[in-house]
Amino acid sequence: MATVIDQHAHIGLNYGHRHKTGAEEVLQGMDEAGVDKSIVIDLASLYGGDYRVGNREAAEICERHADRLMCFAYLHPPLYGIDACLRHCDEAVREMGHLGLKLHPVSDSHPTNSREYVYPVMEKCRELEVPIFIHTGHVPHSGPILCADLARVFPDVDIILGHIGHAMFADACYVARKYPNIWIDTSMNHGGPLRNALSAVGPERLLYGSDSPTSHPIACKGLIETLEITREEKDLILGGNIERLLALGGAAA
Amino acid sequence: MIFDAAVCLKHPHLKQGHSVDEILRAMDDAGVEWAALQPFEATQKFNWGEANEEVAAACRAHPDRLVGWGALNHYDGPDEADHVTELGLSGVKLFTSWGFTPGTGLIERFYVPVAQRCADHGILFSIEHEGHMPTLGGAVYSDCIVADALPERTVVMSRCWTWGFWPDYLAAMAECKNLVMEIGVAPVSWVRRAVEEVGADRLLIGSWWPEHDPALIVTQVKSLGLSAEDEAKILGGSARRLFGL
Repeated sequence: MATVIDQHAHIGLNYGHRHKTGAEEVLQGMDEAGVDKSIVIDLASLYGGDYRVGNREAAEICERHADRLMCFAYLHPPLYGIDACLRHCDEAVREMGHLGLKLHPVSDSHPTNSREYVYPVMEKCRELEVPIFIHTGHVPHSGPILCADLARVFPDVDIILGHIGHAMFADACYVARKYPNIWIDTSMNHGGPLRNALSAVGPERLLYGSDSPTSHPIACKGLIETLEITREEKDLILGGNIERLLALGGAAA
Repeated sequence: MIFDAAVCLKHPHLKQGHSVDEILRAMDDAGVEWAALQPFEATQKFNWGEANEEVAAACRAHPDRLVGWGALNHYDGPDEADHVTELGLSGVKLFTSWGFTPGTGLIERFYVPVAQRCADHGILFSIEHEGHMPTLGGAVYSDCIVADALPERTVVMSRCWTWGFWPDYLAAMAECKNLVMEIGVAPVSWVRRAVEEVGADRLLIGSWWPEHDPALIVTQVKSLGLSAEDEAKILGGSARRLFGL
């Protein structure tokens, strides 16, 4: 049976609800939805907290639940400066075991394609051979078209475009179709944009995500199950693609 | 020369601009020498051919001041572009507001054929932007899809008025070198960035009079501290080149 991997879940401080999500809550949601593994991201910095502390906490939780949880490191480059951020990237990936890096430009008030804050992170992704996951779909700095710049300049870095661009899904589909190093996170969007994304890039570059606890893992998983594609293609979206992207379980990217 | 690349003949919601004489007086008041009229009322009355003929008649009556855009309902196909060409109009502008945005997956089906027909006739093609609000899929996808489909043709991004989308407008212009942008009253920092990043020869002004006062746009452009050359391009040089004057 194919492994179901939610590549976009959260742990720690839950934005919007001021509630701290622990591992038990994450795992319960996963069990309810039939999700085998999740990639969790701490969002401490969205409230002005220290992303370095949050990422360490997330890594420790994942270490305790290594059979089910993995993590990406959330970065807030402007907060302590880009140099501190880049040092933390090294630490997060090489020491803590984070499998990728995450940016949230609209919340952290920097352009998605910032020369000052994002280009260096992209260089670091290239060096560390990890993907970058970018929240998209909010103006003024998270329009999906801004990822085109990054994809073009860093064609060897995999970019996960968050939420199918939310309501800006057509812009997201345009850039993803054009640049093969862009992958689409399906979390927190609706059936129409999901179908558009499927039409734009096919099942091979869609990544199942829930954005839990903001949305229960069953929601997007259920949407993917409604797609009129083969079982094998659904399984790719539900876990096979992220396995391939991250070279998990022996699958090559 | 000051060239206003978007002036409405018979705005569907505003009283001004229902006579050409009134438009010319407004142009004189604002110091605008040339204007490109557009048949805006067609979005309300669906009288595409008739509205295009009215614009053409105005341009024929004042060939030293006016050129014109034609419009069409892209769901009807590209044939009205033939009529626009026969009328001697300079190009086709697709109005996407008021429900005419085709949505995702349909740009190739409806917009590209129109743009191709315009290319066949050697006339301009433009997309009006306000329909591309987030609820309809995004800021710039239609422009980019058409620009990619016809890389040798210029696509004019019109009515780029959503201030929050300025990063996206610039990103689109960086992505597709054949996009040019019509600016109205816009955030000054972004206009300066546009000049730096894409160049003044890809920028032109469009007031959508009577919605905006072109004099205000001109004043704003003049206040940016640009070089005389860049200022002249934005105020009229780019449009003059585009419209072949």
